[in-house]
Amino acid sequence: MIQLCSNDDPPVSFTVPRKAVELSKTIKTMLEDLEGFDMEQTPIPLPNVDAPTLELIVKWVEQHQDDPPPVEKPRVEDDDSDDSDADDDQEPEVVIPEWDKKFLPTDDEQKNQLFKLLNAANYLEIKPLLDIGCKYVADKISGQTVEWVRDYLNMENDYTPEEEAKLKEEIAWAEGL
Amino acid sequence: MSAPEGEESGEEAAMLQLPDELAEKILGYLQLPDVLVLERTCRWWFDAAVLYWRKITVLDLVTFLRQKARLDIGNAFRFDAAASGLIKRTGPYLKSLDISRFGPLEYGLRICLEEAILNYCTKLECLKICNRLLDRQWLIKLFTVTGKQLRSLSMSHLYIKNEGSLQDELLGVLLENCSRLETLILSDNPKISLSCHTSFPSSLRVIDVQGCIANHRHLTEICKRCDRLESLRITYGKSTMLLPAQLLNKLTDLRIDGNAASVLMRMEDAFAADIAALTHLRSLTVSSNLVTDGLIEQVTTALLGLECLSVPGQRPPLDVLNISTCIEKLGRLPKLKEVSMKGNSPFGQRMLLLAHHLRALEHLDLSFAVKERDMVGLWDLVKSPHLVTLAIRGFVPPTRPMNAIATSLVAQLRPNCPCLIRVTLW
Repeated sequence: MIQLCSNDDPPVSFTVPRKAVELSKTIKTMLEDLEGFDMEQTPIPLPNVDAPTLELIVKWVEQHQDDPPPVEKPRVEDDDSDDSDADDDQEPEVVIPEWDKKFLPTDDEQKNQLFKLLNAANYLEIKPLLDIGCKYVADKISGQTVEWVRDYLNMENDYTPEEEAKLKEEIAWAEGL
Repeated sequence: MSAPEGEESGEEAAMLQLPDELAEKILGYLQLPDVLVLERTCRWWFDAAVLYWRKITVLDLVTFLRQKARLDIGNAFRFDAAASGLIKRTGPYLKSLDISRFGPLEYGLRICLEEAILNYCTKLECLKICNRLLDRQWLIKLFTVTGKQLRSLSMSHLYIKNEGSLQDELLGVLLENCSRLETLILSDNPKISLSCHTSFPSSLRVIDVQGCIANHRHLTEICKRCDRLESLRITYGKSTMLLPAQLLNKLTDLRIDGNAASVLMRMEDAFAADIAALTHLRSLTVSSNLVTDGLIEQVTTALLGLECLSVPGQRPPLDVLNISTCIEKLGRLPKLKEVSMKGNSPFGQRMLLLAHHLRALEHLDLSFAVKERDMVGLWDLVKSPHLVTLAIRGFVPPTRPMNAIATSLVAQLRPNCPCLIRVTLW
């Protein structure tokens, strides 16, 4: 078992099976580098993760610790779908599993928690969690208006009215899409 | 746990510091219209959207706007705005740009687009401007901006405003900029005779002058200059004969087009002298109306290194080619892996039934050369030990269930064609 500590004061610590915690590439590398030390006794401090977020991370890695490691799929060559090669620049199709759908903090008032989770997953290099999280955000944004997206992503409109008008005019063609 | 006010703004700050990898991932899942919405939320996302745009390095402008952005390109004003906006964003990253086939848009507004291309597309290595009507001055400017890095250039069927079809003089001016050009496609410019041959860069490997009135002497000069020339595509006609043998021995790919049945016999005679010189030829395409028994005899005795043979088109019903003998003779070519007889219906059915003569055959393309009724009850007779793919587009009408038919054909052919993986019907 490995102990992880949040950045709160005082730190909150979680005990996680080593197998689960190794889903994080960052921690896995750290543990490998520290081979020989008794890591069971030494809590690992995570300066970028607070307790509620760490709790979510721990929940997720425990649920997914027995997942088969992700395989790099070779590109399937398929001449019959020639016309779809315009989509080559898209990320590969990600399907969010049912458990994860319920797990992700998806209520709109929880969205900041979701972003904190994504930032933590990025810091800890948990790629599958990043994939589904980003996919979720992308699906959420897709088809929405500028104002809605700005609000959802907590962005401040820092364009001048002139710039905004110019930008709108420049992509006016996309409006009716 | 209640979050104090200060932490709330800290969170927003944290989101603003969203690492590039996350933004890139999110952008990767989005479609073009959503990316444009993100761009308008704030400067950070406008800058981050570069991560989306820079992945577009190959752009076929009209197709992209029509399919991916689902733009109604019938509106010239919107087209110009959309196209120039797209070029502004993708231009700096583009390696390959296709601005062909503008159709009716040619007569509409495209000032912003042309301006944007000159300003942003500075790293192009491949440029396609086919079937266009263009302004002479803009074209010259375009080549001063992009010419130096260009490796590949297609200018088929190009018209210049107030001048008509592209001419040698302007072509010469444009090519002066292109010192690194390797591929030059000039097909279907009926005024090009290549009198500007001194402007042709010596780096050329592929030259296509099919459908031009390429002069034999000029073409010879070009072949002398370009000592890395590998592929030559010409139309065989009054002013083009085959080239001196010593210039041909490096060619690996030769494509000869010709439509006049009257050149048939001369072709065979001219070819006879030169064919032995094509010692490195691996791929040969000859328009079906130039193919005779004599030509096949020469090809199959001299070009033993040939790997690909293509005889496209429906030949006129002249009694100069015995198809069954022709296919049998092709069996003499030990390396012949790829045969294409697109649209050549006299060959279609018999090519399939006699495929066993071509022992190295791996890829056979008989698109629009064979119909369902030609093969009723005959599929069991098709034997080809190494055949991997068979293309028979146009075999059944597009309303039929293509995938099911293809799968059942593969199953039916497998016993006699054990390597077969795919039958392409569309």
